Order: sequence, then structure tokens, then C-alpha cells
Amino acid sequence: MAKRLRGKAIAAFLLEIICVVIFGYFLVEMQTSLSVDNQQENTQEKLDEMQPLIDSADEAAAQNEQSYDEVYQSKAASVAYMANYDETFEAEDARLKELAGRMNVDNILIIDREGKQLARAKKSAANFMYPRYNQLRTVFETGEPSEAFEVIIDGTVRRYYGAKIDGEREAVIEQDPEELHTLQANTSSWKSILSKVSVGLKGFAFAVSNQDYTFLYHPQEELVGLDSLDAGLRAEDLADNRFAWMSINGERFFCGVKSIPADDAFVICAVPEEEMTSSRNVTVAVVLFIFFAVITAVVVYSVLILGEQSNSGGRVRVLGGLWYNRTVGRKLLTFSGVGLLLIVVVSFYMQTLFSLSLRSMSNNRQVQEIGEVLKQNDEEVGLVTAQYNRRYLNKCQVAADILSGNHQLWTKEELARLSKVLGAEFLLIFDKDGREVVSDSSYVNFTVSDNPEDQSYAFGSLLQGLEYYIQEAQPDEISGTYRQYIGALLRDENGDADGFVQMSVVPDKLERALGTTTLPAVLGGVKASAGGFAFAVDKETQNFAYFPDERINGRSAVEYGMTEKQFHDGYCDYLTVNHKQYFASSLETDSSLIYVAVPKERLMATRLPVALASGAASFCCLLLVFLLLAFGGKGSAVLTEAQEETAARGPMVEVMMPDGTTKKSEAAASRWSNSGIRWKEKTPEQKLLSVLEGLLSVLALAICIAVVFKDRFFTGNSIFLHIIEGNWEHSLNVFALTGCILIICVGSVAVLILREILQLLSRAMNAKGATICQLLRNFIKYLFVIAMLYYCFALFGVDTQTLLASAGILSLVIGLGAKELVSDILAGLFIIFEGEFQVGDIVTVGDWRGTVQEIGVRTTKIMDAGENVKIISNSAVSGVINMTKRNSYCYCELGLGITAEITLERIEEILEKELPGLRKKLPAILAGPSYNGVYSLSGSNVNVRLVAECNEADKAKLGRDMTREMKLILDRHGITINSASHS
Amino acid sequence: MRAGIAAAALALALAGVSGHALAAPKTLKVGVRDDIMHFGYLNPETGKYYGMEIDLAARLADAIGYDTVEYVTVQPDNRKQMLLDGEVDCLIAAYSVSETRLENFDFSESYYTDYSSIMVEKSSLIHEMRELVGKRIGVLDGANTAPKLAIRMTEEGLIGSEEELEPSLVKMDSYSELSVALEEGTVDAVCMDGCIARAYMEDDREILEEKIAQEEYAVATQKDSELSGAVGTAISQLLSDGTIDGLIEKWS
Repeated sequence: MAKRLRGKAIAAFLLEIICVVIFGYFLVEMQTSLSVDNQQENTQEKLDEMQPLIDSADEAAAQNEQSYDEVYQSKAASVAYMANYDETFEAEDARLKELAGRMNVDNILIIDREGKQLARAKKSAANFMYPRYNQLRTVFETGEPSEAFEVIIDGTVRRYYGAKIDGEREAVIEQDPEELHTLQANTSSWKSILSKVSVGLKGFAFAVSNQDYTFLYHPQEELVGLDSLDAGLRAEDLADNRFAWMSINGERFFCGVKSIPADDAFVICAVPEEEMTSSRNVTVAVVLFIFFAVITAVVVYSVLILGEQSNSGGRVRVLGGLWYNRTVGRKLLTFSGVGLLLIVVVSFYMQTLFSLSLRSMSNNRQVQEIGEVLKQNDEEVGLVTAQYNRRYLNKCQVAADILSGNHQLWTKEELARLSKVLGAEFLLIFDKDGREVVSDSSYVNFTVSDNPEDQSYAFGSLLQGLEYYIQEAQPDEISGTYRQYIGALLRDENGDADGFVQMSVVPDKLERALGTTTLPAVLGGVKASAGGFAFAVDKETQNFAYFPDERINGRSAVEYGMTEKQFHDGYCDYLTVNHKQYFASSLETDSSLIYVAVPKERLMATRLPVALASGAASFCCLLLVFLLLAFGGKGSAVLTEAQEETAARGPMVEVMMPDGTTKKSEAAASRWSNSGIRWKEKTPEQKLLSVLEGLLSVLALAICIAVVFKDRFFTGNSIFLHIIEGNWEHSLNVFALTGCILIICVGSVAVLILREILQLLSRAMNAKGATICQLLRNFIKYLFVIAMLYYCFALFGVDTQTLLASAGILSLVIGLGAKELVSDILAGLFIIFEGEFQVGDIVTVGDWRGTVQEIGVRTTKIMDAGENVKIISNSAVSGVINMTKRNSYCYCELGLGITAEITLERIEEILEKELPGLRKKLPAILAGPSYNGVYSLSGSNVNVRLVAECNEADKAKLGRDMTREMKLILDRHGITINSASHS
Repeated sequence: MRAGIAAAALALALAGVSGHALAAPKTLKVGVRDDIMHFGYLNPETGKYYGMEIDLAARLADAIGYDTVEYVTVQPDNRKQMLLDGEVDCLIAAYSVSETRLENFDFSESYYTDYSSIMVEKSSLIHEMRELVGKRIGVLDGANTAPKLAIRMTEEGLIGSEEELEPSLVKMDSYSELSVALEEGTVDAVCMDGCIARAYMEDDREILEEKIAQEEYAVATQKDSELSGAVGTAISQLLSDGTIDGLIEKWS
């Protein structure tokens, strides 16, 4: 190679390396900033949700507290009511003790204004004389039950409620608020709020105290209470709306911080670095690899054609000593253009793939979470209902207790007062026959119905001796108001049944408590990142059970653009609702399908700019390479030794293309031979092809390794695993395409290895084995193609079952149209299994004699001595003469003229003497030659035959050689040869 | 010019060398609190001290050429003695400047201004200082809040003389005892430094708006000791370059 060229090549390769490094850096930077931006946006959305989330938790806590307090305030009020109106009530310890048991409270006390205890159910550690209990004394001013407050004495918590009895006394209820505290811990603790927050795929939210920087909550329980600064956070990063990389015990996270001043805390949404880089790394690696391949191809190719060019005919002077090489330039431009397009397409594709897989994974995660929430809610509904039923029943029983035997209270006014104390809507008293006695409601002369259809029928059971009955809340039969009725048995002085009291409550608290558990409430609260939302479709009616857009709510999903195929569990693809495309994931619940959907345009916002940016960057790099390679000094002719070598006999031949150009091509003889072409003999295009093949196999191998050892390389919910494991919709989408590419890579690597093994085997084995190996190789290739086609069809959502079933139709098609093909394949099999001939055999088929090169599935290739290859359909192989023998016989017939001196005896004598010498001269002779006798006489001619043993392959040549040698010998002896032939 | 810079640099380097050459690793023993969130707090989980005063101690030690800081927990009743006995080199323990203390110790510039306040339980329905007359007020034994409260209440005309407050004062040994007493109702109010009150603040409690007295927290060192000058200069420096403001910002 010329020195100048070598310098240029080295410069080009150096430039290539620099370009790859720069482009790689550019890609990494771009992807990182993109994923950081993207994550920051998502995290910001999460952070914005935090305050409302905490507020709603606080609100729920306040509601819990309020409804809890109301229950106990009403109990205190009931005690006060009893003390005031119940004639039988005596403020004695024993009576209070009994009452405490009935009312299900820890302690009841009666105290005076100063705080002196007049009576009590049990001993209390509290000293009500202290100003600490001033809150209880407010009842004397307001007349209303007092606000609740808690006192901790010796580690025991007590909650106090007071209700005024008269000007001097009040009833106090002392209660261990454990139930309330447990409830609060479940609704408003950091854990209960933050453990439900998901950030990204593996991210989470945690809280750090702004007081002492300890962890208030972290998914890793053992960190709670430990110092976050010790764990690696920096105090300066903990500021409102700050985004930063933070490390917690060595692991790096991308974090967003929200300050919650009311709770003295910072809430931090963290996403592991690994999650952000894993997608980046694969994207960058693939795009960079393609870039590398393109630029390598361009550089290699141009260096090769520069080397090939023997004249400077294509050169054009541009400026002074600067010459533009037109031929190289044109080819380079084509290559660079195609390569550039490839880079843009691949980068576009990778962006699509990763944004979609990220999205589908986060959608999947979100929809699973919704499923969990709905499941929990179902349980909660039962629990909350039971809790409220218990509370209502307790009130009703207190009412029954007060009213039992106290007939003077059975007036409308007293019942109204009692209703108020109990927080009930109204009370009804029924006698033993189920007839209404008195009520503070507008219902008069009401009777318990005998008709099982009626709402009041169930309360008849109380007349049969049942202690109580709780009816489910329902719209009232008469007024239609949503109410709940509870009944409790009344007893007379002797303890006998004396009718029952029925209490009506408006279960608004229960309703409110349950309101947050309904499907619309849950789905309405869902905020997926990137403008996503959740909706539900009823399974039976296929109507929207919930959709954020009110107008669509309740309409048929099919009418609004969804299709039947999208109504199943685990759907993960695009869908259209109301002419808008969304990327969605689904989950099936008992009654409906839940979808989390993200608008399409929000997903794809970045992919085009990114693709174009990487296109532009690679354009710059390619331009540099182009300038370096296409321009140069006025190079002298660079005919090199390499050129001369290729001029020697190689497998390459020049062919004339239909368009008149001359191209190099591989000679027919070498195409199917198993030996490859040596590097030096290749054309630049072939060399380039080899380079690209090499790169491609590296890529395929890398992908193959990644797929096979996926568990080793990828952990948790990696995007790569998402693609491999195929939790996506089988239809024409980017995942299916990627799945195909992956499986083809794995398949080709496997097939390649298998074929190489067979190749090795065929070299080691005898001819028959080799033949079978060749056939197997051929067979594997076809099998692979068919299997891949079938598999890919399946990935693209073609129904493979139908495809299999249509194999029947396929066979019909074959029977009609591809009959030839089938008979060829069968003939091929028979050739091999009957052993008609093998690879390497010398055969004659019809008029063609040659060596068998290959027996394929469809054709057999036979090459003659002139290295012409005849390709014969297997079915056309008939009348084969297999001339492969251990030794062939080469016959040489000579017509010798007989004269007086040259008699037959003399000739035989000469032959006997000379023939052994012939063998030495012609090494192809394995045995003989020997005189075979006279086989005909004609006139004065004696036709004698000589025979020699040789290889079949040498036979023709040996015949010619022997004839020549005989001519020389016989001429020496003056014998004339009149005719000669050999076979 | 260049020679001048070089000389200066050399001098600095020499100073550095000589400064370090004086002794092997030097440890500054600092008396700190372990019960005041934001100031000096010992996290029982980690066994480490946190807070503004802890950070300040570290900066101070750095500024006056000590290599490490050893934190020693001091209590209001023993801190004076500990510093006198030399068990600690200095006090950075929410220790406020007062005339009596100036007799025994040297104080740096004040690094933090606080106000002592009164804290009550909400359920006691006390909202103003005047309602405290005749009530039991918890104060820390050994702290100077009690006399200040007496002065303040006298100024306000709530009591006739400072001695009049004495019967209603309940003295206790620690802030946590005071907090428990307030919770259980055995005292009706507690009076303590603002930073401490905030540390014991809960939703059920209230800090009265009236401030009792201004407290200037400063670093205390032994009277006329070598350390006094260095500490004084260093604190002034840390104040003027905004370091202390930064620390207060960090821990607020």
C-alpha cells in the first residue's frame, strides 16, 4: 500500500475513534439531560401531589377524630341526660360501673365544678382540681359537651369528655383513645401516606425531619429514626422544590424535595440512578453501535477503494494542490447518506421503544396499585360499616336503657331531647304488638308490617324476642331519604319485653367515610405522570364506568373508539377514546376493567428532536470523515502489489452487469465450495461486507448473550426484561418489532453455531456423513427461517392457531403449485438415503460429467473439470452413472500398421519392454499399464488395447498422456500409428 | 510584587506549619446540651449530637486550630462547675450571657438571641401571663428564668414584688421533668428559654405570646484563659462572614 494512502487510512481511523468518542459523549449527555428533565417533570408532579395528599390525610384524620369524639360526647351527654331525667338514676359508683360496661367506655365519673369526684365507675389517676382540666369546666358555660383532650399520666393516655348535668355537676367520660390513635396511624402517619406513593418504576418517597434531619419515614424500616445526613444527604439539598442527586447509604438517587412546614418535614421523592441510567445505557449503546458501524463502513470502504484505484482519472482539482476524488466521493456520499438515514431511524426507533416501554411499565405499575387500593377499599367498606353499625347500635341500646321502665319519658318532647343527645334523627317507640306508641318524628300511627316485602317487616323480629336489629342504610320507603334504622328491645320493670325503640340516623358520616372508597373517587384521584389518568369500563355493559370527561362517562366504550380486543386483563398498547390516542395498560377487577392512559403526544414529544439531533451530530462526524477521505493531494498512481496479486488466478471474476458496468463477482466454482475466499482476493465491497457481517454478528452475539443471561444482567423491572418477557400486546407495534429482532438475533447465533458444528463434523466424517451434514445444514437454515417467520407472525398478533390450521390449505397450495418443489425435496432425500451419490463423487447425469459439489434440499450441484457448475433439480437427477470407484481403468487403443518387419509379435515384444517405463513417466498410473490384447483387425491395421489403473479424476488426462507417450515410443521403433483412441 | 506574594505565601505556610507543629492532634472539649432540638440534641438511635450549636462547635474548633471536637453533655445544674473544673474547654450549650456569669467566665460575642417564654397546656384555657397569678409555674433549678420571670411579672404589675412569685414557683431538675409535670397538670405553666420551649412544643400546648426576657447565647470559656481570646476572635469572624447565619438557617 502506498505510503500516502496508509497515512490517510491511519488518519481516518483516528478520526473515526475521535468521532465515536465525541458522539458517545454527546449521546450520553443528551440522554442524561433528557431523562433528568423527564424525571424532574414527573417528580415535580409527584411533589405537587404531596401537599394535597397530606392535607387530605390530615382532613381524614380530623374527620376520624371528630366522629370518634362525637360518639363519646354523645355518651357523656347520655349519662348527663340519665342523671338529669331518669328518676331511678343514682350517682353511685356501682351504677356508673354498670353503665360504663353497657356503654362500652373505660370510666364514667361525676364531678362538681371544682373538680371533686362525686362518683366514679373506677379510680382515676386524674386530679380534676388542676387547671389542666379547665376544658371540662367549659360545659357549665356553654351547656354543650366539652372538647376532647388527652392527658398522659405515667405513660397511659386518657381522653376526656364532659357533659353538663346541672349547674353544679357534670358527667365525665375517661377513655383510652387507642382505637383512635390506631386509626390515625393508619390514615395520617408518614408511613400510611408515603408508602402508597410511587415515583418512577423503582422510586419511592421518604420524609426527613427538618428539626434533626432524621428519617421520619423510609421504605427501609431500619433507617427510620436514623440521621439522614449520616446516610449521605446534604443539608443544603434539603430545600423546598430542589432537585438534586442525593446518595443514601451509597446508593445514588435523583431526588426532588418538598418542604412541608406544617409537619416540620421534607418529603423527598427519589428515583434510583440505576433506573435512569439503565434505559439510557442501552439506548446510547445501540445508537452508538450503529454510528460506529456506519462510520467504520464508510472509512473502511473508502480506504479500500482508494487502494484499489490504479489511476487518478476520477480526480478533479478543486483548489491549488487540493484534489477531489470523484469516484471515491460518489461512493462515499452514497454510503454516508444511507448510514445517516440508518442512524436517524435507529435513534428514532430506540427513543420510541424506550419511552414506550418506560411508559407501559409505569402504567402497569400504576394500574396494579389501583387494583390494590380497590381491593383494600372493599375490605375497608366492611370494616367501616361494621364500626358505624356498632356505634349506632350502642346509641340505640343506650336509648333503650334510658327508656326501659321510664314511661314518663315516653313523650314527644323527651324523645326529641334524647334524639339530640344521642345525635339521632328521631326515635320511635313501638309496643308489644308492633304499633307505634310515641315518636318525635312526623310518622304517626305506624305499625310494623307483616309483609316481608316491606322495610319495617324485619323489625318484627324484635317482637319475637331478638335483642336488637340493625338494618342496612337505604332510601326510606316512605320519604325516600337515605336513612339507617336500628331497633333495640325495651324491657319493663320486671325485665320482660316491652316493645322496642327504633332509632333513625342519617348515615352521612358513614357515607362520607365510604365515599372515598368508590371507584370514581379512587380513579379520579389517580394522576399518572405526563398528563395520564385512569378510567374504567364496565365488563358486562362495556360502558365507561368512570371517565374524567363527564360527557363520556356512562357511554358505550365501543362507540367512543375502543375495540373488543382491548377489553382484557393486561392490555398494554395504544387505544383510542373519543378520537384521541392514548397509551394504556389495563387490569381486570371483579366488575370492571381499569385502564391507566397517557396521551400519545405527551409520550413522543422528545423522540423526533432527539433523533434529529443525533442525526445532525453524526452528519458532522461523517462530513469530517468525508472531507478527509475524498479530498487529497494529487496522488500518484497507486498500483500496488496487492493489485497484482488479485490479478492472479483467484475465485474472483469480472462480470458484465445488465447496465453495462463491469463488476467483480465470485466464480461459480467457489460459491458453493466450503472454503471461504481469502481476504486479499476479495473486492472492496466484499471486504466491506465482511466487516459489516463481523459487526453485525458482534451485535447479534451481544444481544443473544443479553437475552440468554437476562437474569444475570438485568434486575427487577428493567425495561429490557419488559421487552423480553413480552408483557405487551401482540400486534404491530414497536415491542413486537423489537421482540422479532431479539429472537432473530438469538436464533441466528444458535443456527450459526449449529451450522459451524455441522461443518466441522462434515470435515471430520466420511463422504456419506459429510453429505448428511451438508443436508442438515441446509435443512436447519430453512427450518430457522420458517420457525422465525411463524414466531414473528405470532408476535405481530397474527393468530398462529389459524396459521397452523391453514397448513391444510398450505399443503393444497403445495400440491398444486409447488409440486415440483416437493418432488425435488423428496428426490433429494432419496438421493441421500439411497446413497445414489455423495458430495465428492464423480458422476454422469445425462450428458454431464463432473464432481458432486452439494446435494441441497432442492438442487444438486455438479462441477465439471472446467469448473462449470451445473445445477440440476433433484427430481431431474436420473440415469446417474456413479463413476466413483476405487480405481478406474484407462484404456488406450492404438491402430498399428503391420508390415513384414513389424509383426504383431514384435509389437508385443516392444510393448512388453516399454510399458514398465511408461509407469515411471506418468505418475497418475496406479497399476499397469498392461497390454490387453488385440481387440480388432482392419485391413493392415491391428488394433491393440493398453490398460492402466488410475483415479477416475485422472482418467481423461491419463488417456491423452498415454496416447502421446505411446506415439513417441512406437515412433522410435518405426511403427506407424494409424488411429488412436482412449477412454 | 510577585516576590511579595511569594513571601506572604511562605509566611502563611510557615504559620500553618508552626501552628500544627505545636502539638499532636488537639481535641477541643465542648460542653453541649443533649436535649434541645435544633441546638444540641443527642439522637439516642445514632448516639450522635446534632444541631446548630454542634455544628458551631465544629466550625469553631476548626477556626482555632483544633483537629477534633469532643462533645460532652452538660446540664444546667452542672455546666458551671464543669467549665470551672476544666472538664470542658468551653460551653456552647444555650448558655446566655448574664452579669453574674461574667464574673466567672469569659463570653464571646452572642451567636444567637433567644427569648424565654411561658408554655401552657391548651386544655388549661390559659392564654395570658396575667392568668398565671397564683398558679403553679414550673422552672428549671439553676436557670435564671425564675428571677427574670419575677422581674417581668412585677414590671407588668401582676405581682407586688419579685418575692411574691416565690410560692408559686415549682423548681425541677430537668426540662423533661417539667414537661411531664405540665402534661400531668401538677404545674399549670412552665417557663423556659424559647429554644427549649419549642423543643417541647406539641399540638396540645401553647407558648404564650408575652416574652419574658431576652437571652443572648454565647460561648463561655474560663476567665482570662488562653482560649478566650481565640474563641472570641473566631466567633466574631464566623458571625461576620455569615457562617453562623448559615447554620441558624440550616437548623431552623
